[in-house]
Amino acid sequence: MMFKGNFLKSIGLTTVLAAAMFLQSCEKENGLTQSTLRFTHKVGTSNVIYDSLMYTNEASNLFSVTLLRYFISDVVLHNTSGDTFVIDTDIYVDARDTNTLTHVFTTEVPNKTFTHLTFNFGFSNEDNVSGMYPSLPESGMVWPDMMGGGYHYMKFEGKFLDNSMITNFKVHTGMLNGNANYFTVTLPLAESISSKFFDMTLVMDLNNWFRTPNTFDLANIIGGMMGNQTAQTQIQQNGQDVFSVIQND
Amino acid sequence: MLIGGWLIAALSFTGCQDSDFQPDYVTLNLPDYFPAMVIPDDNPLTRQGIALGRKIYYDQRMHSTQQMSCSSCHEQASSFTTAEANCMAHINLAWHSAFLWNGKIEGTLEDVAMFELVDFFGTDINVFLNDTTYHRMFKEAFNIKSDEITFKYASYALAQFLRTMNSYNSKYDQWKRGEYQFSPSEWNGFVLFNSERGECFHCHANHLFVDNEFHDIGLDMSPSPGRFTMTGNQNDFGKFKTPTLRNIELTAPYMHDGRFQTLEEVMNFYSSGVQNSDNVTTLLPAHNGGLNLTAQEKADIIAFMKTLTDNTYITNPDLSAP
Repeated sequence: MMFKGNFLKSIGLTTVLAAAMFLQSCEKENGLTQSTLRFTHKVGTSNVIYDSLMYTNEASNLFSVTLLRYFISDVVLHNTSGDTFVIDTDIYVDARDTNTLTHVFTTEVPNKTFTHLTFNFGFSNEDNVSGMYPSLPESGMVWPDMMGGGYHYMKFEGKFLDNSMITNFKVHTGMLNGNANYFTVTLPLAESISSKFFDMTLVMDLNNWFRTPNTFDLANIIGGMMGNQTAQTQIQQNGQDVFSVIQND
Repeated sequence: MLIGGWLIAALSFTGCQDSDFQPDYVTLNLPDYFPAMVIPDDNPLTRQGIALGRKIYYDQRMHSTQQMSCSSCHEQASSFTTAEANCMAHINLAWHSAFLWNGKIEGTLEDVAMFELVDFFGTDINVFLNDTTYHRMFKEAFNIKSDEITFKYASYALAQFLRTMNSYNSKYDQWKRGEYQFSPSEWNGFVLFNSERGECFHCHANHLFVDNEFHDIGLDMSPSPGRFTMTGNQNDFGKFKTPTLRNIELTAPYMHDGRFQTLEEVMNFYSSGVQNSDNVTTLLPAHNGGLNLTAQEKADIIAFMKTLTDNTYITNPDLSAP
């Protein structure tokens, strides 16, 4: 009996250990108890220093950054089998408000080995509904109904040197006259997500808004670009590579 | 959600105090296009609290000289401001998170009410403690005895009254409700207002016509410190709180220092008088002196701004002296 008991115990222990090893191999445990999505804003490789005329873009504009606010929406993890996991439907970011730079999620990520992340910069037209944000600060992003309605995708403002004169610029993007000026960002993950929680940082390089494929000269949008579809399209095209992702866990 | 909050507060009130305390809870009837009003759980709106706040608002014994009340500088006929004081109008303040031109007070209406009574007026608490009418009203509003009256309760009552000071019956609101048609000039002004050509809507945002932010609009190359006084941040130098445009027709003079007497002067400034100061808002073409509007464009924007006049607000008996 003693032998039998020890034998069964031994089998049981082995089974448990094997199961644990199996589970460990499928679901990587990183010790996190919640997921975190962070936002960082850089020009080149350096964090943005605001209100300082110190950056040069592709069009040789010497510029500063005073304000950067934007929405991303439909933030989703994907795997190669077509499985998806929605991280969030919409996120508002004010680069100068630290409260908006870290977003925490407690829902566990399913164990499906997610390999890439997608989101819309701004909103799809059907999701961009006037009045959906009644309160500030999000409501301050309103895009007038007579210009298409909904909300700005982005307000990016600063000053630049134009013919030796310090001049304001405002890169404001949105659903001008119903045009779908949003775009979808797809970011492959260097390490697939197989754990319950993640910690990632989305990094925006502001200079990328002004180059590739279009060299964007701030002198062409003095007074604004909300009603300028050509400029809206250029920024939409340039925006495809403004984001990168860093996995912190 | 709001009503739920009031119910919870009501339960906690009745749970801690005697069971005879049954104030009349008040639900405000606000337009559906207004943001939800956030009301602190520990200070639900009640008929009794609002009445007490209204009495305090108009009681000239609040000032240390006993000769000045809130209403001395905030006259109803002028949409609760006065030309002499040039203070910010008391209108739809419940949605603000910073108060006074430089944002000296941040937080809730309870916070700014406490500031007004204790710091600005230097109110003598004995005004409340020695007045049997106040004893009764504090009892009815907060279920406290006369010797339990404090500035906290007085501030809470004042905050309740301020939360009822809401304007939403202008021509603009009537248009929103489908009861009014803009004139061609008003409509043109509305379109300009909501464009970068007029560049009004980014700061005077949404239906409250404020953004709860601070801006240097380029009044002077060497402006007054403004928000810098509170933050010490050089980038805040020259910035002042955005005022609401609701009832703007009634609240002259304009700007933090009251330098403009008319809306025409204001529009002339935005058209050609904007200075390219260090912190001037990036929304305005300051390098060019301003928006360079035509006379007709300026007239149209003014016509639209006048649709924000709410005469029912300045005659509402519920907001007048008790």
